[in-house]
Amino acid sequence: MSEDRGLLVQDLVAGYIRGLPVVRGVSIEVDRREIVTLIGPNGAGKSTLLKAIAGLIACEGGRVRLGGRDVTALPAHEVVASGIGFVPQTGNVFTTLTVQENLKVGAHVIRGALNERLERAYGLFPPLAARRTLRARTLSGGERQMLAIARALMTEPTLLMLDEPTAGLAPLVVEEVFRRLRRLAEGGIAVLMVEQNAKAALRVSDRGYVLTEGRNRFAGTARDLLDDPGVAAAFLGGGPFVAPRDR
Amino acid sequence: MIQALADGILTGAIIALGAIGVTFTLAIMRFANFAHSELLTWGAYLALVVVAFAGPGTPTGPLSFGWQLLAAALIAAILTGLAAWAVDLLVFRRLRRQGAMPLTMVFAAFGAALVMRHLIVLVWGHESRYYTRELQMAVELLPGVRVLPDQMFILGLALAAMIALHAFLAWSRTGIAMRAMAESPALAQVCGVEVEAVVRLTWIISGALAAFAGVFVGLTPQLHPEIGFNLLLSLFAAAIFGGTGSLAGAVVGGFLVGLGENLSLLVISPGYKGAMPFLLLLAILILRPQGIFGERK
Repeated sequence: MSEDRGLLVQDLVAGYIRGLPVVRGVSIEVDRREIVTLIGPNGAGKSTLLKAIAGLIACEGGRVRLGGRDVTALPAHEVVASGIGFVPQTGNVFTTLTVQENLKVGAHVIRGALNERLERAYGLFPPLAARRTLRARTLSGGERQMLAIARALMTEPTLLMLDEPTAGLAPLVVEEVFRRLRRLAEGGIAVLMVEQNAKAALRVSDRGYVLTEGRNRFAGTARDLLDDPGVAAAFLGGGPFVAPRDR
Repeated sequence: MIQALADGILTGAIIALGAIGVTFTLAIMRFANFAHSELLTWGAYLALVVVAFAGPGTPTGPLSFGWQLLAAALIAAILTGLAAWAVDLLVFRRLRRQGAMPLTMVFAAFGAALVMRHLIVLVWGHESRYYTRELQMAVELLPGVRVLPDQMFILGLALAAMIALHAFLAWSRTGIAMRAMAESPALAQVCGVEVEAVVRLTWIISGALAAFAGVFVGLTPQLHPEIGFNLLLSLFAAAIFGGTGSLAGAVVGGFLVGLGENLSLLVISPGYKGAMPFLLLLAILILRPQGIFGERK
């Protein structure tokens, strides 16, 4: 076990109603500097898994470790403080708050001055800097997604989790989001995402897991999953077409 | 006419202080707290307890009371804030944990209101009480407009409280987190905002402002167990008129309802004064259901 370890989930069981788990014993690993994508059909428990890791729903069994530290069953605000940033799928910015206020809420668990962190966020996402005093409702879809990611990064997390980060975005913006995630991973963050747009997501990922019915089905490097005829036929079919490109 | 305006502004300031708590509860806890008016009564009587020990103080300048009454109001504000939180722990939090529907919360609030009001009756009885027996001369502010120095003082204090609260919500990180939670508790939680901490703070602020409103009602001129309850409809009319979740809305709504009640006396009999908030409520619900400052959902 290296000190550099990111997320380690073992046999996690979780759901919305006790005794009726949606995630039924999932194990995954995400190291720092890598992007891992979860794919699988609707109802496979992908989003539920992210929520359970984030402490938003109760874990009924299994373990979640981050950097070697046990974070299972911590309340959500302590999970945030321990270094997990989460970008939910919908409603992931506060539309009535300004861009800057959104970022401040993102850093709610951080004590002390925020100026450096704010400037770093604007450095990462320059379009946000010009809009810092505007309400988030005035942002475009791509800008909102940038704000949601920037907000989750305010705590300088070890792990960034994203639920469908490209849903509803124009193809060019999708590429832009993936490119930024790649850069974040290279900067040392562990990135875990759920993507409907599975092919495109796997192309920027290092590894992937296929979940079905709340359990691990396949796991492998992104290349292996993309090339596996069984996985391709069952899980990579329906997504919108995105032209293959080298990364 | 101008006298009615002056009276309306004074009543409006008191209604606004109470309406802020109503709108906060609606925005953060997402239910209509019909027990909020009782917090005004509790605040007024808690201040009475302090005054009973310390006395209202020797009249300072043109005012009918001294610093002791102000200290009493401050102590009452803190105690009422804590009382509001205690009611939450005893009643509302239990229901929240069970995933109660907003309507269940409203009925629970009615129940809590009855208990709270009758506790006051139990201890102090039905008769009217006074903070101070000092007589006060009205000052002629403008030709034909007479106001008591106490009223002017109250108006100033109420405005100061509103400005302080605005600054807190606009600039402090806790204030921003409160606004975030008003928009989306789920996302606020994702951001690491501790939901119960915000709920607690909301009760304490709402209770404290209600106590100030209650003391102000009690000062002009007496208090009785129904001072809060009598304002209930005005508080809700003001909160809804301004747009739920909006501090500015509650303040503007409060002043409009206060003015509406007092200006109506020029054209209709005082017996109908109580119907004015209801009329205003109907008007806004038809013309602009989200309220003046409300966000369309």
